[in-house]
Amino acid sequence: MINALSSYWLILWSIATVICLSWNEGHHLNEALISPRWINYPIFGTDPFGRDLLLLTLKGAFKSMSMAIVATAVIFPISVSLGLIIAIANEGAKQIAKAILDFFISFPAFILALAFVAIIGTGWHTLIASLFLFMLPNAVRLNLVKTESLLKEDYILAASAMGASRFDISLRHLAPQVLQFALIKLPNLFSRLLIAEAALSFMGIGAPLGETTWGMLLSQSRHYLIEAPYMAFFTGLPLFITVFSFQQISENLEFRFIRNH
Amino acid sequence: MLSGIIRFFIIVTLIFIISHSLIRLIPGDPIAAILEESGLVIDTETLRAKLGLDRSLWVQLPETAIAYAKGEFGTSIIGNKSVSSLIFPSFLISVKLGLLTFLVAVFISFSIGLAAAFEIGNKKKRGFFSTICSVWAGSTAATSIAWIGPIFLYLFSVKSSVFPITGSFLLASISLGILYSGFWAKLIRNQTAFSLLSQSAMGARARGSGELRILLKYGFWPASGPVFGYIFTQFGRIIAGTFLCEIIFNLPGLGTLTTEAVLSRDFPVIQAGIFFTSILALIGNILGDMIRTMIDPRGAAV
Repeated sequence: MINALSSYWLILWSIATVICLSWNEGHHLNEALISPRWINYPIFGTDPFGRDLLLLTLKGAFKSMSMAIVATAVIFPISVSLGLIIAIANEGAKQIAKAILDFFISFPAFILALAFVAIIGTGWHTLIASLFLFMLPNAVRLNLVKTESLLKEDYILAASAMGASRFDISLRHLAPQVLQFALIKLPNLFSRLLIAEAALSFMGIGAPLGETTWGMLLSQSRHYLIEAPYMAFFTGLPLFITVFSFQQISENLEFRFIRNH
Repeated sequence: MLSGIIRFFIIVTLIFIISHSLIRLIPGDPIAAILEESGLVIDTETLRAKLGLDRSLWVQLPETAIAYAKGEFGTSIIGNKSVSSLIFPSFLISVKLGLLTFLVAVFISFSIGLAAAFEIGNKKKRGFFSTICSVWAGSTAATSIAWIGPIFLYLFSVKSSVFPITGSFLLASISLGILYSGFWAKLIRNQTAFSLLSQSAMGARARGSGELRILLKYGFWPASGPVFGYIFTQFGRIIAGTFLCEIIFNLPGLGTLTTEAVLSRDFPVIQAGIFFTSILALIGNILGDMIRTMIDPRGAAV
């Protein structure tokens, strides 16, 4: 039930974000901060400039989600191949790589993001770079652990006993399985990128000022907490449902394809 | 132990070098960038000398390291205050917030997780509390402090004045602790239920031990190694989480200080802020590792 609902929500929400892309409403200050009305026009209410909050959230969602798609497209292949390479590397190189990974994982990624902003200022490129640093070490370690557990399997031992080289083993036996595992974790990675974008933009070190993303909307609504508390609730609610749906799908996939018992 | 100390000092040195060479990585002239973005009216050469940019990195780094060892962290560009007077109060606030959050998360996750495990142990199948535990884990994993923080602030400080509207440590740590508690609760439930279904727990029940004793001694205690192992290594994550929390709840901690300094390009404060936050996270991780090894020596870090 919950899986079907999650899929419906994701499909509907994605279609809605694309449809609302062409919409560009001006400011109507006489309609500013209207509370949500359940039946007719502003279902989510309006923002301080009189724009419809639902449409604004859809626009923000489109930007956040496209950015998450870009970041996923970069992180996914790199994390899979790095995980594979580190797993089959020789012992010394592996230890060094693991130490570097541990350092980045235990180091709060926010600080790295802050350091980035301190160097190159805020902007889309900084945001993408920070998201990259947020997610890459964890994704690499996930694939690394998976590859290492695969390496202990008997058929790998058999293959190497029959004289298959490390390259052969990784290409024929490891890569397909690690790829499947990483694909199952893909919705999860995507949802965590959405949350990270929201957090960074909320702190003011994400998207450039004036842009509408999920994090920027959340950050704006915080300033109207007393006059318009519905803003904070309704801009964050779709984010919550979207992230929840992606995680449910990831969990469901994992249940079907990995724990097959 | 000795190798641990050596590793600690290597990492501290690395963090120090990274945080203090950041300014030299700014494309173009750092001084021009700082003046442009902060809008300060200050003599270029004075600023250059103050940031140590008139000397080479190899001369400046040891000098700054000696000054840091003496407890002199320089003065901020904006307001010209001594950095140590800015850093230490906020350092204490961040530590306090992190510890409170940890306690809240432990309290919530143990209540939910142990209740669910107790139910599984009695009924031999998942029931009501287990569902609560799963839903709790799923929904907290999907929530960001950027959403739940303002909502809690509205509900408990604006609408009803249970907590003060600014600077409430308790409200901040409750909303942050909730986010961590979900996954921990699920972990506690799964591990404890696994050992509760084992023969030793059944034997204890047959001998007539009390239910609470069975739950804690034969259920939780054998499973505590992995549980504590995971929970205590989350110290560093919690410290990172307090960053956003401080901004939402108006707590003048390290997160607020460093973020403001970054946005106004106040480099002496940025350098000290990044250095001390990293040290805090590092100490958190090391303490976590030590406590974990004390409880469960099997998983000792080599």
